[in-house]
Amino acid sequence: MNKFFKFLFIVPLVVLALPLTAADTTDSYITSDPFETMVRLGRISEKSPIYQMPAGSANGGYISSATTSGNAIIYPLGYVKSSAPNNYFTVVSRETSLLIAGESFEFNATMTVDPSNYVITAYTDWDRNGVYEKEAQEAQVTASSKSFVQPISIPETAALGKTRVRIRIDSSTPSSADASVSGRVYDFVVYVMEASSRTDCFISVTSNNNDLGTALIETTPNEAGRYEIGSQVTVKAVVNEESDAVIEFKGWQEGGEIVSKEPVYTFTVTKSTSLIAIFEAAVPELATPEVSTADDPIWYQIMNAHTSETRKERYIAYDTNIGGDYTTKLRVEKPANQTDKFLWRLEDAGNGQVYIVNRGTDLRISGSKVLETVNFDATETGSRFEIAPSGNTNGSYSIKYEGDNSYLLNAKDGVWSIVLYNAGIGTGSGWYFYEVPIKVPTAIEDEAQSVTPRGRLYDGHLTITGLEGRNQVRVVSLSGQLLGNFLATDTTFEGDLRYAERFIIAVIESETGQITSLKLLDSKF
Amino acid sequence: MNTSKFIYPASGLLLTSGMCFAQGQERDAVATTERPNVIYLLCDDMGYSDIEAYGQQMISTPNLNRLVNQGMTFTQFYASTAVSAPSRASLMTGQHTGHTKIRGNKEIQPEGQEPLDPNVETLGQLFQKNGYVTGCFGKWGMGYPGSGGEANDMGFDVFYGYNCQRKAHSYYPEYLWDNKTKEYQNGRYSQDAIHEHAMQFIEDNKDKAFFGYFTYTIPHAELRQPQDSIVDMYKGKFQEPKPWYNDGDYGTATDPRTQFAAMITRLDTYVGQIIDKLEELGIADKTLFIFTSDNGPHNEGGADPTFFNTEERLRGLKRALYEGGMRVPYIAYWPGTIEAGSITDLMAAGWDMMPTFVELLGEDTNWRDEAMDGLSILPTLTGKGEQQQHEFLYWEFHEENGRQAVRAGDWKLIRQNIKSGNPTHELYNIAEDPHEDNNLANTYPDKVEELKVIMDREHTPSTIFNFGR
Repeated sequence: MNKFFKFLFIVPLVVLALPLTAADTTDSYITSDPFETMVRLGRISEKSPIYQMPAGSANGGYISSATTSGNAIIYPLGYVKSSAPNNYFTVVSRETSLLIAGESFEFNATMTVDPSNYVITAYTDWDRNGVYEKEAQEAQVTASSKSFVQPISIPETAALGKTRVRIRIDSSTPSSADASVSGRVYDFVVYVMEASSRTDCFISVTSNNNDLGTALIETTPNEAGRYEIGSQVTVKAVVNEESDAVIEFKGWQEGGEIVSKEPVYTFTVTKSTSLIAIFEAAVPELATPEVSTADDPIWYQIMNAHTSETRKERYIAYDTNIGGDYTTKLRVEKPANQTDKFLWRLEDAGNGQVYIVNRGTDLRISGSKVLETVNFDATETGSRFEIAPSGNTNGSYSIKYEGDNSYLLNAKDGVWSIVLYNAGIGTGSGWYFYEVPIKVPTAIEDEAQSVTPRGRLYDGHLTITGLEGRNQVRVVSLSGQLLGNFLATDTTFEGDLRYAERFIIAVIESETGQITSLKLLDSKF
Repeated sequence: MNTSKFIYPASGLLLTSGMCFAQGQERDAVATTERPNVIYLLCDDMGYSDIEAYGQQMISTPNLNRLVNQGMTFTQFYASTAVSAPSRASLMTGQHTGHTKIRGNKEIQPEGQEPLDPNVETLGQLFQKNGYVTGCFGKWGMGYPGSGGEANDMGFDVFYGYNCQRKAHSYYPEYLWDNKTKEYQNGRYSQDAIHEHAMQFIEDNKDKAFFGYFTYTIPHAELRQPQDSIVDMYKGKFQEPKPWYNDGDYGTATDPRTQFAAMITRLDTYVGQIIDKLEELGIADKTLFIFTSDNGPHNEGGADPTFFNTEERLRGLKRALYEGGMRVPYIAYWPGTIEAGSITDLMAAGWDMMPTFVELLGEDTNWRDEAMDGLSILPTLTGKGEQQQHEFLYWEFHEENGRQAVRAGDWKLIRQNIKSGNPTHELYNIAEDPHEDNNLANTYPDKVEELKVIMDREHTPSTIFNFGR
């Protein structure tokens, strides 16, 4: 993946969930600027209740995506989370839903675990007095898709303004909204608005993972950024072909259900709808570690075997951008992904020992034979290790410094650096190897075709350079709405968008079907 | 309250020590809808998302919501740096922290901080020069007692509060300064005393023109306050897993989340009372009221900013030159002149206030010898005239091995670990990545070099704050 593409696709989800809305309309609480949206929503209710935070602890999985749909929805929720929240209690307000009283809606969620093993309970506070009332209708759970749908009715007497929907995921039935929890509690901040007589709806699309693929709406909206009820809308899911990972499009998800498995999906508008394009990278599989060469590599994520809450699921990573959470370039980091910093191969070092080589830098894990106090790094020379079953029943491996049973590579808790340790066999000094499928290039890259398209946006004027042959250039907003559709026949393309938008995605499709996506910021603003 | 302590030169009463005017200065101006009173409320260590309009979901701030609905809200306003004294010094002098004398918290024992440069005129002196009565109520922190840099020496006719930042760590101090005289408190909660004096200042000067610099120390640690109905609003609402016990600097708070939330609501209550007072006196339309903070949120004395900002819109706390350390709420209220409910993403900073008030007063931009670093934001506030845009903003910070930052357009470069002699550089695109997660320094080396030039140029040598050089 080229670096420009890589960085530009890492943006706050809140931006991705925002539709285009003119700022001067009466219902324009949602804007393309997340900070302006924050202020507009934050001041809706001059005085808001203070809610009770339940006691408890995190247990089990978490909600990986949530949407709202139904007649009550003015603006649908589009919440996606790729890692577990830090706490058992989570307030979600950056992604929100605008609702109207006297109507019903569905709260649709997908979890990382089977929700049928838990008790799902919803609570609401439509009179905005700070006291939750239990939603009478029960959640409908679909174990196979790890999803549930919670029907919710809003009374006609609901007070206008900011309120919350509390979703509890408990291991047993809670006695009240505020009871202690073993599981998770989510407070979704929502807004009850005055009903309007509009005949158009919001449609938004979101990718569940922007590194894996992009979601866009091909149909042009009306001037309010909406779609008329009864009209046809086409949405498109575009796999990120520049990714090294093997990626599959699983389908369009609405309300926990896959409504279409087609990348191009056309449907009739009946209500405000939020669709999530589900992309999945091939899942790394637990494997027996093997040596490989640079020409024919086998890449692994290497996960520490410790099981305590703070130490589990940490992977060896190497990153020169240390940031605020770590103090060393080589560390055990969570959550993992399939980027280079988490990928390692084992290179034969002779005598049954290996070098552990990083994919992005080609550097090898390296350090001195000193217990506990020396943080390991990655260097060109590297240290040699013997990798052998730890003997623990968990099936983990020990990584022995130069084959010495008393010097084991260990994930040091607290600072999360990597050191040598003479204990913790099978736990802090135990490791699992997950083989990561990486896409194999189909041909040797032609130098002439490896030019990366670059883009610039200024005052709605788009310039793309580095093109070859004929290309279709589709420009969409961050919520997936089409701003322009062009045919580029030269190495440089210039065009004007239908209307200026601060952030855009340009999806460039060549005659051979190769797709490149650029995310651009209008530099005038 | 003993109002006899308020002695205004314009009334012809005797001045207390240290309060004197330059020859020919008169406090005879009268506020108008065009040339209004100004109240600048600079609270202490309050972060971007500590109030509802900026994303807070657990703390009630109804009066600030009212202010947002009736005034103008800035989404990209920056404090002058990430700790108190230099942030305030930059605000006072209109010089950014690469130029102003005070660039760090330098304590002078037994009480107070390094004084302002007496040769650089302050906001207080600007307003005095224009006939305004000036008052500072709260924390000063820019000149220890007897230094010649106390509030009364630097442009404020009236001062009531803490001279010293360290003393301000206690909300129940032995004494507060009433101008240059100690007033013993006998267990009184300092913020109530300071607020009462500020309110009296408004009342006393309702028929004149005044500049009020209200530097309440809420929500700075310690997390102690009267256990009244405001605290009761939050009692039992939050889990309190991390009680704080007196460490000799900050007092005990066994329920720090509760106390912190109540402090914010208390500050909100004070704001509501100020606005009510302006309306009651019929001078709201003749008063520009600004609410903001000196730097980002703290985690001291038991404060738990990650709990209250679970969605962490910005990275970093107080002392960081990441956005969270410096980007602060900024709300401007001036009914009839500032458009109600307006929101702007204008990029502005604390040192812009000097040129803003110079323009507001109709003063000559060369009113003093020293140059001003900022730009007037008056065109944005009033909707009149053309708003100039910053080519760049510059900050520096002299603790924790030293930091510098430059923002130019959407790009921001942060230099850290300067005193080590081997500094690191991080480049972020703030529009794309406001949380500053993706360091692009390796991707855009030319941009790094371009911003380094600004950074190196804007730091003028200082004998006190020079990154250990």
